[in-house]
Amino acid sequence: MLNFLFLLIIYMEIYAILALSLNLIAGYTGLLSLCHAAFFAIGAYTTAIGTTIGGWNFWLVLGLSGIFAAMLGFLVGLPTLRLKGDYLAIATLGFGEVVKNVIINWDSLTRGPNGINGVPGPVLFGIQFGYDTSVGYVILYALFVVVTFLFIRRLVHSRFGRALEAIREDEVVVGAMGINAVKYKVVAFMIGAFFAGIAGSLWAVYNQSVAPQTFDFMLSVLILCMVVLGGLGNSLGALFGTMVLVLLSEAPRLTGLTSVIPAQFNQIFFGLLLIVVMIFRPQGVLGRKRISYENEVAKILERRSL
Amino acid sequence: MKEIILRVENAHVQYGGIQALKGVSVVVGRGEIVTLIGANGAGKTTLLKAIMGIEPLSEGNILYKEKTIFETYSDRSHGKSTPTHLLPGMGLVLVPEGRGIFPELTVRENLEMGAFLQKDKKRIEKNLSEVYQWFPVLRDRSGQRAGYLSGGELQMLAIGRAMMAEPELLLLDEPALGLAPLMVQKIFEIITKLNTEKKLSVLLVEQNARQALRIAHRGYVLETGKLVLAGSGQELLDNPEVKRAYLGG
Repeated sequence: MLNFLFLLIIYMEIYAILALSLNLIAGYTGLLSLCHAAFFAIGAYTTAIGTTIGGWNFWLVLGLSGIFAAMLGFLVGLPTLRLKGDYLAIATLGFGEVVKNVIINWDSLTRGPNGINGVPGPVLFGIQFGYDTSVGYVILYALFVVVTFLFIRRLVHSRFGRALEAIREDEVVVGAMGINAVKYKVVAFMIGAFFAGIAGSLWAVYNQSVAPQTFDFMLSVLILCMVVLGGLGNSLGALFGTMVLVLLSEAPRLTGLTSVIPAQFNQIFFGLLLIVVMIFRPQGVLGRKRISYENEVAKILERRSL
Repeated sequence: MKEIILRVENAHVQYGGIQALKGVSVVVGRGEIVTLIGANGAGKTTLLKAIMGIEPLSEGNILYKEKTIFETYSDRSHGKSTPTHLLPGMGLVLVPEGRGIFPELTVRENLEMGAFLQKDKKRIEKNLSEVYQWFPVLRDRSGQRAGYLSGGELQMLAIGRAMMAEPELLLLDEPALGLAPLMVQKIFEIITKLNTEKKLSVLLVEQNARQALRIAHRGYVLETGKLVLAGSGQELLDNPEVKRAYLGG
């Protein structure tokens, strides 16, 4: 039971990185991207191939995973980010499928549908991570979540983040203000892809195996659901959405009702939950949050003067 | 006329099969207020968008400060065109139709967005306090979300934000739209002041023809994509055609 709990937490942590990074793309910048699973896959496969065939160490493949994903983000972003709304969603959806199919069919490198097994766990501080060191993974991955969270928070509160939010609100006006919207969108896309690649790497070394079925379209949708559920453009919301959806997807096993509730029921739950949230709280459970110091001060002053 | 700051030559713009501009030539001299009046759908906004490079010309050229920022060749292929986001840095700034304010950002943040290209913090502060002098109400509301402003305040914010970019030529798209008459007067007063005190050149697109012609040095009348009249503001105000069509008799 304890191990199952750790597994849940570790999954939450990996999904949290995915949700936080997609939130940068979809929530803050307003780009409806449906290929986050593809960046995740690139990271996971880079790590799996790098460690098994290359025999490289964890930190090196971790970095490479992020960089490859970001490079792919650049290649996809450059042509597709000139598209808007639905067209961008369709283009990214297509790209996600391409990546998955390349992985399935590039047998010599990815071992096709069988996936790659025997990915070694990382050795850190003299500890060999493996199946019996779940606590170690929990702590290590928590650090990654914290770093991702802080990095994205710092980013969205910078000049760069301001530009991203402005792009989300009105791209034409942003251009007329001297901001190269496409450039900013591509960079945001690359940063989001980078962290998804890192998450993929963490996924590979924890599971010690990767298989193409993991990275299908439904995963991209699941991550998007996490972000939308918590509130687009709210990092805490992304974390909240991640926790809810991971728990929900494991609910049958948690309650010991696997024999009563088939696994496919998950998607019905997700669907229902999203419908309910969209009807009663379309901005997400936590909503879009803009932390503005001046705003808070103004509110306090207002209350005083009353 | 003194130095010419903007010269639009024979501008054609096509939206699908519809020709929105059919060979419009407009000139703005440095320090001038030039207004472009015309009914809905005459192509006024299209012309501003073309100048900013948001809508490409199918034919014609645009020169700003003697430099070509958009040109087409006789075979209708595009020559040089300056991307939209480089124009504000050259002093060409648009206050778009509908104001284009970011409602989620605060008033101050909106103003800072206008100075996005400016790296010098001191200069941003200086411009900010200047904008606050022009529009004291923006200082009072600086911490509020721009979405809560009234129509007139939004327009002031839009102009203030454009001023943050230190423009030489300001393109104003229907600043009076949807405002109460008193507010319209106030906005136009400020435009005049910016013109006289800051030597700002202005290209003003307006449906409110009377007010616009009163403050403009020169004006053009645009009708379904073609210029039909041009003259000084007073000449156009006195013109019987203009009176009948745009000034309500």
